[in-house]
Amino acid sequence: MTPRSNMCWLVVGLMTSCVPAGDPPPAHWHYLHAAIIQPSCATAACHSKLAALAGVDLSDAEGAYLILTGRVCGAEPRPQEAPRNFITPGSSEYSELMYQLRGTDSGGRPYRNVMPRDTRLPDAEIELIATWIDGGAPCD
Amino acid sequence: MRLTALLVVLLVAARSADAYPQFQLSQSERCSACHLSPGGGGLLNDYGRNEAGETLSRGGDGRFLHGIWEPPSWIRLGADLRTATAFKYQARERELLVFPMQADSYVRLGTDSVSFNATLGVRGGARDPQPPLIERLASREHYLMYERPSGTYVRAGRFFPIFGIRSQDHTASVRRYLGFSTLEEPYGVAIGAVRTSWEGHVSAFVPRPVETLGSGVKAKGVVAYLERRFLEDTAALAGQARLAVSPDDSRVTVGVVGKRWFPAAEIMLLGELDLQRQAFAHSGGTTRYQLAAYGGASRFVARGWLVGAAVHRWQPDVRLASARDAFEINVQYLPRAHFELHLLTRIGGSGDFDDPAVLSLLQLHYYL
Repeated sequence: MTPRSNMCWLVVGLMTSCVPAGDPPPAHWHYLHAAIIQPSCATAACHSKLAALAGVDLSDAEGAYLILTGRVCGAEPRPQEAPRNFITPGSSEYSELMYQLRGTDSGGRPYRNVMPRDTRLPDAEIELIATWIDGGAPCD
Repeated sequence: MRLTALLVVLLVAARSADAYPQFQLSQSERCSACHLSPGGGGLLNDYGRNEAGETLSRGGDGRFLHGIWEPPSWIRLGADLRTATAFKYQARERELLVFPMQADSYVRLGTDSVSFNATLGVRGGARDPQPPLIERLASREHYLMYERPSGTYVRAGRFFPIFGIRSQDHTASVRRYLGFSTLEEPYGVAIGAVRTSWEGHVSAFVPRPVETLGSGVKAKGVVAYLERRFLEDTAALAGQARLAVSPDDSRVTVGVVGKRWFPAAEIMLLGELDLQRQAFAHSGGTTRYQLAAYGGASRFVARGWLVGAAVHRWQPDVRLASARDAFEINVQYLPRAHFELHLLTRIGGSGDFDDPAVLSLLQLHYYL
């Protein structure tokens, strides 16, 4: 390691060491939308209001919740509503969204139509979404 | 390792180097030396067009319409057209895409000191179904600008605040995840100055007034960028900061940008490192810290041939210790002024890259 490369690593270390420890990220819908769905999915070429590829607009939290769960955010689930869209509340194992994010279905078989198209989400983010779905996928 | 070895061979075996717009330091240049915008990109000025023909590419006339017709001095025109062929491999899924990537036209009306600048184009799209053409029309930039010969300027309208290395690649982590991706330009005002040994820019911005004008977080805030040059204009170091507040979150970003031109080796290095604190409005004050980084090297290995490599890092939450990393190699061929072939090959993944994604993208670029 040269003095210059040491200096580079020192800068990186100082910047990251400034990060205080905190609580783990919450598995809440509004957090998931703002932290993961919006920046990763609602891009200009994909699921923004502008493009809404395949009719899916994930740019705002309430609209995205309706599309993904078939429920209206803030309203009680009603029997006549679609029981599932991309998400089966309470079961990440049988939620199509998880197949898309993981690239495999519940049987571990390869699943086509993997999302996001450009780069797979980090495992920690995928598992946070799974935790939220397993908790009933509330619009909290 | 093989890719690294190949890159080293290509860089070391190079014979000569010529000037190039992204070689900002190689001829004591800045973005505005070749572009009419103080932040670079878009329309080229006369010097930039001459460079394109006389030193960058393997010949040709870089002027508008290849010099067939010269517009009057109060109007500047131009266009960028790109088509792309992409091969992707991700999660055992292969995909071949051929699509129009960019179709932008540029106009600048006015004098050297006061001008109206606009970009009008059709939004590209890699996958079907795409919206009708009329819904894909977009204007990424439109602003009024006043500038002085000293290098001081003020502008107001739609444009990206000056921040970061300003890569042309909107998928670079430092652009893609920090609010500088496609059609995420806000509206705002900016003031800046470019001097011999330094440049500084301050911008205030507000969201796009109509949702369908673009995408991304609808935030308002301020951006500051200050760059200083050293070592006889072969090195530059910049500090930058951004505050952005939206109904869903607030973000404070601080970062550094480094640029180094090695005259003997004729290699240009660019680097950027940003740390962002994001506080969420609807999640009980939850905060997270994010890190975006870019490091790249490039060199002309022969006239008209530019080879480069870059690494990208994106950590959406530093505490989760998970990251998206990517390594890429770029080969750009400029056979004649106005024409460019650009082959980008990128391997990206998380953690130990046990399930990497591979992208190979060939762009055919023509600018008018």
